[in-house]
Amino acid sequence: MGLVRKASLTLWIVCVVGLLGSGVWGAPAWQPNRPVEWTVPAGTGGGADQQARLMAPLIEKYRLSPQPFIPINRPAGAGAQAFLWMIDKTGDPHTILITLDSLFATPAAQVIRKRDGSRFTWRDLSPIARLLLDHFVLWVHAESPYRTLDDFVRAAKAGPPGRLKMAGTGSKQEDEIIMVMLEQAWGAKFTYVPFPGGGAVAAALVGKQVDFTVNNPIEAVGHWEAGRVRPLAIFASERVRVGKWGEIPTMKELGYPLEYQMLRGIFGPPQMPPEAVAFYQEVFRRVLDTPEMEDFIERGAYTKAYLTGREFLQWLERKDAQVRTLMDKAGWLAK
Amino acid sequence: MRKAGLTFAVAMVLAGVVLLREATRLPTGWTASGPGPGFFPFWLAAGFTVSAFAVLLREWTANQGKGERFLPEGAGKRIAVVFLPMAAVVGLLHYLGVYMGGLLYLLGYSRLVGRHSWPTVLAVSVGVPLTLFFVFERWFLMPMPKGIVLEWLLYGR
Amino acid sequence: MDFIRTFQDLLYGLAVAASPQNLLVAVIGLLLGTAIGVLPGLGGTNGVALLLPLTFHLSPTAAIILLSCVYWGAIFGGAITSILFRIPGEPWSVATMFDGYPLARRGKPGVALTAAFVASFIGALISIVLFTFFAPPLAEMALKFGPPENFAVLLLAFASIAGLEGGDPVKALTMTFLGLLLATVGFDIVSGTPRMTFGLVALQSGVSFVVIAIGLFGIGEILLTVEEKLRLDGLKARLSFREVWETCRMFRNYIGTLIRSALLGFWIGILPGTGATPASFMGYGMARQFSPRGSRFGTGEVEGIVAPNTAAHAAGIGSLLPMITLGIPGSPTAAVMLAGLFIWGLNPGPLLFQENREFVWGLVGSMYLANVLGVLMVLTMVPLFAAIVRIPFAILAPLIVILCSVGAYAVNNQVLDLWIMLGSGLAGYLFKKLGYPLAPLVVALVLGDMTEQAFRQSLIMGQGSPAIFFTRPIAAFFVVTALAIFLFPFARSALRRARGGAVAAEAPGTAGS
Repeated sequence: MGLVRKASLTLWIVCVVGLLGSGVWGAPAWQPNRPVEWTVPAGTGGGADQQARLMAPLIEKYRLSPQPFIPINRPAGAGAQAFLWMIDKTGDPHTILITLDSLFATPAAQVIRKRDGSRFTWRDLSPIARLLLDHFVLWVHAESPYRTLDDFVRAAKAGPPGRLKMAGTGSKQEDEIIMVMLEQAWGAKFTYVPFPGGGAVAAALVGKQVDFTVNNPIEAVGHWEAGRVRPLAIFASERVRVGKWGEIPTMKELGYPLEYQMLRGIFGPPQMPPEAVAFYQEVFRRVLDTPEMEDFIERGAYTKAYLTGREFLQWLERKDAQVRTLMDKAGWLAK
Repeated sequence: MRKAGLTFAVAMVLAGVVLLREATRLPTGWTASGPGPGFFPFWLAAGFTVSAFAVLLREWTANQGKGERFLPEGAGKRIAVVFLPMAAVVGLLHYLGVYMGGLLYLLGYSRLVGRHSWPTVLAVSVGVPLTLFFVFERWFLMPMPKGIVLEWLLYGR
Repeated sequence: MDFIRTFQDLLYGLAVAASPQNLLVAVIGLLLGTAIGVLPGLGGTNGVALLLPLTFHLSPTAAIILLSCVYWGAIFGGAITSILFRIPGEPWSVATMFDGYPLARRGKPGVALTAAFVASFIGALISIVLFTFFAPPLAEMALKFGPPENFAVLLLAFASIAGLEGGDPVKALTMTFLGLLLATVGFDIVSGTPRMTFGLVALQSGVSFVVIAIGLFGIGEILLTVEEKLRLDGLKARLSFREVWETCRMFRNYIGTLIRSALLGFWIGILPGTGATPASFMGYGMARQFSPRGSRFGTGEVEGIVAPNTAAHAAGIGSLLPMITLGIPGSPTAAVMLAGLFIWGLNPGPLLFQENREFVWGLVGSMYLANVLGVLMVLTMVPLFAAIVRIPFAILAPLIVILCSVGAYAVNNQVLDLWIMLGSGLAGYLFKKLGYPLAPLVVALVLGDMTEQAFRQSLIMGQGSPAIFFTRPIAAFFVVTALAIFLFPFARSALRRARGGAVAAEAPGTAGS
């Protein structure tokens, strides 16, 4: 009897010590122990949503994480709801956010107050990684008289202000910011017609409701292939050398040093533990290298732009400055 | 009945005024490119207030339903028994979550109001939240508010 | 000519869809979709979004079949809770409630369910035939619809359902204003500013139609039920397959309504930015105007169930058309499928028909098969569904409350929506007690923000001049029609009065019937 009791006691001690020990020495790096909630600061069907819903199952398929990643849409207020959600999750290692440029534009255009009354900026969040850069292309209808960017610029400068109409997604977000950039560069004035999503924007151009758009490549590629729209220039630093996208000249080549790319990045809540940040960095680095992602990147003419740490922070500051300067000139900054 | 109708109409008019005030915080005018963001909210709130006022006047002059009871005998209590626990569960959502809250609500109502037998009550009030848990958390992967109690039970700390 | 070629394509598509794997996928999709449709708040959009990850393991054809079948299932399933408990399982089944619930209360849940399912099926079938033979030209026509045309159509929608519920016209007007006002709450995409949010960020997503409807009808109904007296038993209901069969035979009488609703629904579905919900209301409103029994709508008329369901399902099919041919989602659900298309490596557009014949025609083929399968599946389950009303009230009521709460939360993943649901539950109870009609409120809420958005977009395009609604022929046509319908009842009564006031007693408030 005594022996059995002693043996079981020893077993207990071994177990307990073992459990404690696994946490102290030789601990494997941090891993999630529950499903990871992946907030999408936009509605279902948009670009960010699309990417999260593509990557989440890939993470599972390639066993990059012991727990699933679950995309959840929090679309209210062009991202405001999602940002405040992240603030409420301070320190939580099981919550991440995929971002688009609303991360910069929304807190600039409206004062988003945290619970303590101070104003939200992206600096409150824990940057994890930059994944992709999404490009913007200036599109006109295939039957329009503008064959080159020069034709277009001439028309923009010539007509009465606001004659040329542009369709874009949302208001005071990236599409309209780019339009302001063009207006400033060319001294022109356009009419901006907001639509709820990129698909509707592309369709408005195809249906000749408007004169031009700055759709992302993937939003307009089907119409381009069908010969209904014509790209005039891309707002990238250099040509995107995948498939026929390489045919599109950059704005810079054509004499206008205009650049704009959209961030597709991952952020954690404030004060996310560094081990958790490291874990997600590794997951997303490996996701980007999966064949499915490679394929997606090529079709959407994305630029794979994995970046972390200090360089990422510096890039974010530059990007933020660019967005704020443009919005300031347009008079959209909320005081 | 008349009193209730009047009170409610007054409440609607007041609500209209509050909405009207909220609407005036936006530019309510007509800009060069069409109505400003506050244009429709303002005029709709104005329309609402005016028509609610018209309802109030009619209820006042119609003089209908005088002396009728608004609620049948004991109805107030029956409604409170359904509604207040509902509100309590939502209020305590942070602690109880959807599943625990649902369990308690089902348990309480089916036992105290329905007076069903304990086996039925337990089977339903445990079975339903459990099913929902698997449907949403496991199957559809839609996380619901679990509440800190259940979070602690599931994942520790 | 072209028709023969299309016919060949269709046969090919049917063969693709009938392959064992695709058939299995269709059945799974339909079952899941029905379940999703039954759960309030968990809409076809959620269902499709949630299943999207699963589709990577399938071919694109099987994937689109799975997702579209979830959509069809959700459309079938949405009717179930609206009819049985007055909880809209889906936004487009609100109109189903207007007559479905009273009919179920009268002890005929089986008739109501059968009517809804068969109507959905017929709406789908008419739509699919149109889809099959006229997809590309219809898509071209849809492209001509910019914001001014959309506004004109929405105006027409308002006109066709004006005076929807009888009763006090001043109260109805008050409720319309309230619905329109609630529709303005949220983030305004035209100006990029939050409106009417009282500083609450959670309100920036707007007051969700689904949340309000769950509260007003679902929770409100529970409060009304407990008020009367505590009913401990469930409802007695006659359940048999004979009832299903007899209801099917009644459809002979509704051929006109079926065709009108299906055509209307299909067209509304094709238009970008509208979708099945307005279609269902318009279908209901139109049937009410045309039907000889129109004045009895709202009391449990079978035709009042048939019309909205036909239109909703027809619109569901229609909304896939611009998605496939133009890459514009005709509904939120289609938007998610569109994301899927990109992920599977397909580019929507006119070329899809030529380059991915298997995909497009497989989808078309599966629409035929899946809707036949779907209607058979749900019809065999009618007695089962109808039996739910026999559950004792003290168990059913809390169960409904929990389902409502889960659904309301799922819409936007925010707790505030639960409070809105409770608040509108209380409001729904009081409205009903004090004779304020609910239908104008929900209709205004669902159409309100679309209409305002289209109106303001149009004015921006016209640089502030409303002339844009009259210089564009299609828009002008619809605007004039809408105005005519609005003014018709007034004109008619004025005419009557001019003829010497022969109408002695004022008809109690049923304008335009």
